[in-house]
Amino acid sequence: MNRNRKIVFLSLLTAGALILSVIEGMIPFPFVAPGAKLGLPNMVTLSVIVIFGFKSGMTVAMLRSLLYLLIAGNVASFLYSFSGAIFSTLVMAFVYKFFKNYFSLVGVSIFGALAHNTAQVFVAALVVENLRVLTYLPILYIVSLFTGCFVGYTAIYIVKNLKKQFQILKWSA
Amino acid sequence: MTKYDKILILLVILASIFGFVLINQSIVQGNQKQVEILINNQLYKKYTLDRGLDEKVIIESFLGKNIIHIDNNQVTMIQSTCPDQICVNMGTITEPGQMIVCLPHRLIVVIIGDDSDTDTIVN
Repeated sequence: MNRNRKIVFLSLLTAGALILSVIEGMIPFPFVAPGAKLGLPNMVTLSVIVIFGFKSGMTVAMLRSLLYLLIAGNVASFLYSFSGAIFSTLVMAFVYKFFKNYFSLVGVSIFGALAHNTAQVFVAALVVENLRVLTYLPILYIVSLFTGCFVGYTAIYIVKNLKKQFQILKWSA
Repeated sequence: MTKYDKILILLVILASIFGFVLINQSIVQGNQKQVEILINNQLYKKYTLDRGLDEKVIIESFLGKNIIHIDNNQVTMIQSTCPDQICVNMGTITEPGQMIVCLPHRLIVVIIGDDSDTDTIVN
């Protein structure tokens, strides 16, 4: 795939992730853990890591968080989403690269969700300068199991279809 | 889903249960429950939960405004000017160790058990 085509695809996927963030912001998730989110944009990051590699995945995740700051205008939550996005992308790329044979995308995505929550809670503990906030982690871990499974299964479908799409494009070019 | 995925899920469940147990053990249980309101990790106000206590605490810091309702044994964040409203969605807390956090306003409301009443008995 040539460079321009790759840039176009990555920007389209970033736009998709951005829309998913907006939709996610509309869904309230107050059942068990307030503040927990579905992690919908994570499925785009994960598919980009699988198809394009770590660097592109990191670019998409960081751009998505930055652009979402412009839409939501919420600087306080930007800190958490940015740190979570960076750390979860790092962990997902690491697990996907070295343990691809052991974990399916569901496992990779669960790792990503765990990393996302860990980073966010640690940043929150730094912001309020109180380690008591860390007691919120176990319940977030349980929630991230479910969201991680959901995102992982979706990412499997996305990757399958995107790869098919790219093959058609290659053939027509 | 592979075998290792299932092992991972099991491990995470075990780890969080272990975490819950650890946290529950570290909480001091006492007869007297107290509410601490912290801003920027500094004590703003402290209340002893009592029957007949019915107070609305209005907190205004440079970050925004919060209203906390303390009623008998329960504490609720009823209003906040923060954008995400997570603190309001956290609902009512009643037990030691539970807390309401408003991250944008750097506000923590936490219930702690107080074991100082044993001293009065000993005295």
